[in-house]
Amino acid sequence: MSSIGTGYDLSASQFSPDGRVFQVEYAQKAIENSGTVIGLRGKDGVVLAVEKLVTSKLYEPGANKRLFTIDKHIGMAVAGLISDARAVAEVARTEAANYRSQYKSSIPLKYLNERVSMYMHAYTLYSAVRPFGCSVILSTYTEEDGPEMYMIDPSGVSYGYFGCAVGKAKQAAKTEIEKLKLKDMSCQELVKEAARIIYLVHDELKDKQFELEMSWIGSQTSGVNQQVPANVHAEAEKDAKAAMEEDSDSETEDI
Amino acid sequence: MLNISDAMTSFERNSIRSNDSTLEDHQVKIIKAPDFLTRTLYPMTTTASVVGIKFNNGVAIAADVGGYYGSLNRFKSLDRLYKVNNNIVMTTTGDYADFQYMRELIQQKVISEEILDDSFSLKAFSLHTWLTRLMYNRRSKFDPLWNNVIVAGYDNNGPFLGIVDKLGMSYEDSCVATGMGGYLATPLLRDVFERGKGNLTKQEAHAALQKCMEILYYRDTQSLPKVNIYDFGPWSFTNCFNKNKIEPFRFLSDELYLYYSAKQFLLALLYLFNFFFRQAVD
Amino acid sequence: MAMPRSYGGLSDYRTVPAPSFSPYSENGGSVVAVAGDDFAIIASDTRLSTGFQIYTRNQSKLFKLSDKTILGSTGCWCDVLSLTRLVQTRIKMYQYDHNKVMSTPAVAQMLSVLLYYKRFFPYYVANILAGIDDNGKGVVYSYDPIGHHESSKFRAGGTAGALLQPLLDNQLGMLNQENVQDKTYTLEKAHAIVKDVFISAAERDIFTGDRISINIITKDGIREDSFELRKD
Repeated sequence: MSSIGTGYDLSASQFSPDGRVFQVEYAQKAIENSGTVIGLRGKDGVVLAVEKLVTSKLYEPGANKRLFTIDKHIGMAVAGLISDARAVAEVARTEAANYRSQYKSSIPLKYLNERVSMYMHAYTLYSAVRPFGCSVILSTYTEEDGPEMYMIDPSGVSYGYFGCAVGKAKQAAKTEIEKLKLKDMSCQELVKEAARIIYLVHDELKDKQFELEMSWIGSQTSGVNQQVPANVHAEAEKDAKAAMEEDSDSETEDI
Repeated sequence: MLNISDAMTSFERNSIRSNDSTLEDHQVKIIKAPDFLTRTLYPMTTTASVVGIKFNNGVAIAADVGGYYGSLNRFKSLDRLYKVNNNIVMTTTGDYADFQYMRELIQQKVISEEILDDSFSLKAFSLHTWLTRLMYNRRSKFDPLWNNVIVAGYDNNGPFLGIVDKLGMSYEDSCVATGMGGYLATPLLRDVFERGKGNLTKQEAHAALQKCMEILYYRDTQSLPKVNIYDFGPWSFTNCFNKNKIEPFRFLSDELYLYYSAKQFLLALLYLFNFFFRQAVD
Repeated sequence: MAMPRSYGGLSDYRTVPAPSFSPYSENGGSVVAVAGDDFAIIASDTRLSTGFQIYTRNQSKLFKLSDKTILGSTGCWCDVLSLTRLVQTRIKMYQYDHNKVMSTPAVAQMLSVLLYYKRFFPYYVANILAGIDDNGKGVVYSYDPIGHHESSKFRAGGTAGALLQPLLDNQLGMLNQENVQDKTYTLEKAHAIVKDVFISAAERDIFTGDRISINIITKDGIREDSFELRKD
């Protein structure tokens, strides 16, 4: 970051001489401070999981959710500044509602992704605004096209994914996800893996408290986005904790 | 009264410059909004009466499946009863396009609420009040939604049954009916309701609604003998919505129905035969 | 210029004249209010109708605004609903702003302002406001649809208003009676007369009937009463 302090990082509307837009890079930095968020796309659905860091014991459980429902058939997970993310969620909901009023059918995720990406991208072009300090993962499941998942970056770039991770421990999470045979996995299996990965990548030394949030959408929910039911959630969390125990046991043996 | 074709004609006449010989070259005709802007002055595709009644711990409403274009029975199987969520069903009498518009408004309202995932859901009485404001605001703009709405539902406060008309006038009652049903069905329903001392069984309520729809079919020229009934009760709370959609009923006995169907079929055959015979001769 | 006439449209199917739109409807109903030295009575029938159709037999036209003020409102029912909701909201706002309940004379003035605000698209409504004032004295205000109002001892309004007012003048105001010594009346007498005049109204006015709902306002609060009328 040798170019910092050269004055090219004050506005989103100006490139640095070596062709970078610093405001966008800073926005990406903001996301790296947030809890890890992963999305897993299996054969019959998508599971989203969030390591929601709880910075104070004084918060109510379940406060500041990072999983949203955009339309009945679209889920969203966010990493980064929560207030920016809520604004993006609202934009996405409006977009979904407009599509429904125009065409009387639910918005295709491909189209929603396009619209939200372009919206976020527009905030990287002008000096009067700053880019969104968040990254969002969008998920859906339809009879025709099966499961779909996209992730949008503050720059407005977006890709479709089989598995994606963003936030603090995205590298570790990605390594874990790459080990999975996502294409053959059902939502039930994905939920367990998702919980395990979040527990695995959580850094107990730096962040003490966290809540595991999970939502899924797939054939078993008839294409409706839902929070993972309490019993399935508890089961997955229990297994994840057990896996951690085993891990630490084997580690101590090694020593 | 201004109707659409008149309005369009005057709009065209005013907007096509060369046709207006009263204007000098440098003059411009100013077209006022009322010349081409027209609002609903009468309903187009219309639907007939709806009737509703409360019973012990529940509420039921019935509507036929017809849609009319003037006196023409244009549509024969409309789905007029709209299930808003697990607690509410609503339907209207009057303009079917306006009903569809309202249905989409409400659907988006319900979705926007569901996705918040805060375990709060719209109640029938709230929707009823909201519709009152919708209708009143539109009538105040002289651009009414041409409908009478019936809202029925069940929640913690028990059964709900209410009406809103195209002006935003509204009330709740144990027996309601719209359109011709207001004259033909309400007396019947009130009679049944009072005889049952306000404590009818579900079966009695259904029978009363069927009777009303039958009488409306006989007396109201714009109604069909195919009826859908929805009912609500505490069971909708155990998360198993009881979508009690009865089979369309016929007034003809099975034998007579068969007889008439066969006759129609034979006549059709005869017609076709005649048609091909003539072609062959030609 | 001759207008081209199109055929085959909706109009060709119609055999009845097209209905035209009016933003108003007449939904009937009557209100009677009587003010005494330390009480006010206000009563309305509960029939909501249009033409020859009775919408419901159980719709009171009385709106409780506070523990000492009640508004009786009849006419175009959609306007009644909108107006009374507005009044109720404004009374709440007053209460939160000033930390006190709005007095009956203040409500009376505000109602007039709200009505006149819609002078050129009026609420088609006959209002009678009853309550007790700051001194505990009964007061009755009556209104026209655009906000003209006056205070009086007793007033009848709504579809049977013109029918009932002379009756009240005679029975409570002792008008056209000779050798009247005492022009005062008790709550009991006023209560009985209110019932009587409604029975008379139900005989002659098809828009008044079914039941009356009576509210008696005193310094101790509001007492409710109900009385059956003929239902035809």
